[in-house]
Amino acid sequence: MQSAWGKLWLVGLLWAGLFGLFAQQALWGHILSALFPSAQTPLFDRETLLSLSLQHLGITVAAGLLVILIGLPLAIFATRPLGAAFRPLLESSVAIGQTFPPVAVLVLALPIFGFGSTGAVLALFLYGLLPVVRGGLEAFSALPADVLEAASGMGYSPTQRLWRVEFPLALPVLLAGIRASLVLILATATVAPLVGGGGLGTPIVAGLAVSNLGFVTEGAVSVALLALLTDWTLTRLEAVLTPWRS
Amino acid sequence: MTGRLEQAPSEVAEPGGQFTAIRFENVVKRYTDFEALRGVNLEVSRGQLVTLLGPSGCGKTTLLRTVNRLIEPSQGTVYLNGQDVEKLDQVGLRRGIGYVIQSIGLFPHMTVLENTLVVPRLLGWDRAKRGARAREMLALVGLEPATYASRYPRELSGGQAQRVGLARALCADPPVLLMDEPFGAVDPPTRERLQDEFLRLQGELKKTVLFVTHDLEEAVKISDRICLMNIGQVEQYDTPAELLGRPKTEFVRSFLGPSRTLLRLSRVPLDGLVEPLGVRVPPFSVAQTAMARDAFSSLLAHGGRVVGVRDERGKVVGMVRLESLLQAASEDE
Ligand SMILES: Nc1ncnc2c1ncn2[C@@H]1O[C@H](COP(=O)(O)OP(=O)(O)O)[C@@H](O)[C@H]1O
Ligand SMILES: [Mg+2]
Repeated sequence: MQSAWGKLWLVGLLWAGLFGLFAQQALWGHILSALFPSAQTPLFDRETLLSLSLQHLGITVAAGLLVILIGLPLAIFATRPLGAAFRPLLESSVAIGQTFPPVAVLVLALPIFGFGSTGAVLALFLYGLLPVVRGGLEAFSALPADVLEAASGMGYSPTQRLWRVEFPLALPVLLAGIRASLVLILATATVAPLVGGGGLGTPIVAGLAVSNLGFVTEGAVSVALLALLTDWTLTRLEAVLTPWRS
Repeated sequence: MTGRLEQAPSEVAEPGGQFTAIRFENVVKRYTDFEALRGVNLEVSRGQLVTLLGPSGCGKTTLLRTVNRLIEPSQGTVYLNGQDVEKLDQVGLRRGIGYVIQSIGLFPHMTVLENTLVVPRLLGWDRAKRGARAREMLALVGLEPATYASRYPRELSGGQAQRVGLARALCADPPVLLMDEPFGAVDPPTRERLQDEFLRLQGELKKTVLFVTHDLEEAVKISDRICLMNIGQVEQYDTPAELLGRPKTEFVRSFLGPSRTLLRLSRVPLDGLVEPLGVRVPPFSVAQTAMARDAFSSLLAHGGRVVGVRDERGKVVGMVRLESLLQAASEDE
């Protein structure tokens, strides 16, 4: 495993590189001025890009962690004999959670949580639950029956079987669900500024209001870069955590 | 400690002086719309290899799985070393029994070595001891640990995977092995080799083995006793020679079919039939250690009435006549 973790150095390097790039406030200013010569201030100047992107990442990670910490146990419970009856309910409620437009959820959450990032995180959590729960249900129900039979026959207790056999075997599908969820949350988090949540949506929302394409481009390109790198990180993580697959 | 299998407080000695390792007493398994076991009574002596033989769907797997309680009987009792398995701790019971299934069920996320030492790890053996033991087991089933220990199951052939399955079942040295069509998924030459090697191992290890197969030939080749089953019941429980020589019911007779004479020869060693060479050395020969059936097949393949017998260096040292083979096949019919 040690050598496998060594394979993640490139991931770390790219994250450092990306935030290094976000820190180049002047460089972004030059590029956006060249692209939009007619705009007076093509770069959002009330907050630095670095601070906006860190806020954005913070909201995403918070919502993502909630999704994993709540979604995975729910999926595991619903795939145990004890929780089987609960499964249809879980499946339909997470599906409904995702049919609400995130903007509507945000605004509905406003009276409860007030202005700030808490409401944004909770709305994004509801919205991002579906891929993780669905991936979890799928992962734990599609495990090879012969392997499970062998595990029980060897004398794994149900709990040991869950953690030492089912969980590692479910991991590829679980990670795919987590990846989809994180990318979804990251992209959707651009509406967070509507309730005062901050993040890279701030220049986009401001740019739309004052018809400043420079602001919109700044936010959109940054979100896209973050999404790409998040996606790739999870893909690498999957390869490192499941060396037994071809 | 309910999980210990070594102790056998209420062992029952058989007339032959052997001990009963597994006993099924009126075992019934009912599903909502189907009775898979219809009152099975059976005793397996310690150190014996008993096959459960019968057509597909007759209840072999169901019966086997009542021993390690993967299936709980609807009625009746299964005893392991005199103890009702129902009363034993389920997890401890299973750790004390070797289990091999046709689909093998190796853990794909574990290396060959990790797969092999699963049960010792569950039993809490220390790292060095279980690693050494697992390597020993891999060598025993013919897999060079240096080559195979760190491979993943997907990097193995069917035969190799099956060997790992056997090494895994043997690793904690359980006195009892349950094997469900363990050689069913490999090609015929590999199957024969695995059977031969398993027989050699069993000769050394003397486990109590309950072995499921639907292959008559396999059962005849490996068994001390065969339990022939039909629709959830035992039709006949006998040594291979008795079963082939004296089928008790019409079902047994038809299951054995016309090949039963030939099959009897596969249990007869060639030794007793060899005669000194005549003036002419037969043009083809079989190994001295072969079974009468091999000599018979050779005669059928080449045409002729005499087949040579060669020693381990390949020198023809005797011969067997067709008449002796036919006589051996029809003895005590
Ligand atoms: N869960 C179940 N529900 C209903 N019938 C079953 C179930 N499991 C097995 N059976 C039936 O029990 C019979 C015996 O099955 P099995 O022991 O697997 O047969 P064998 O191993 O001899 O081929 C089969 O006819 C099978 O269809
Ligand atoms: Mg079967």
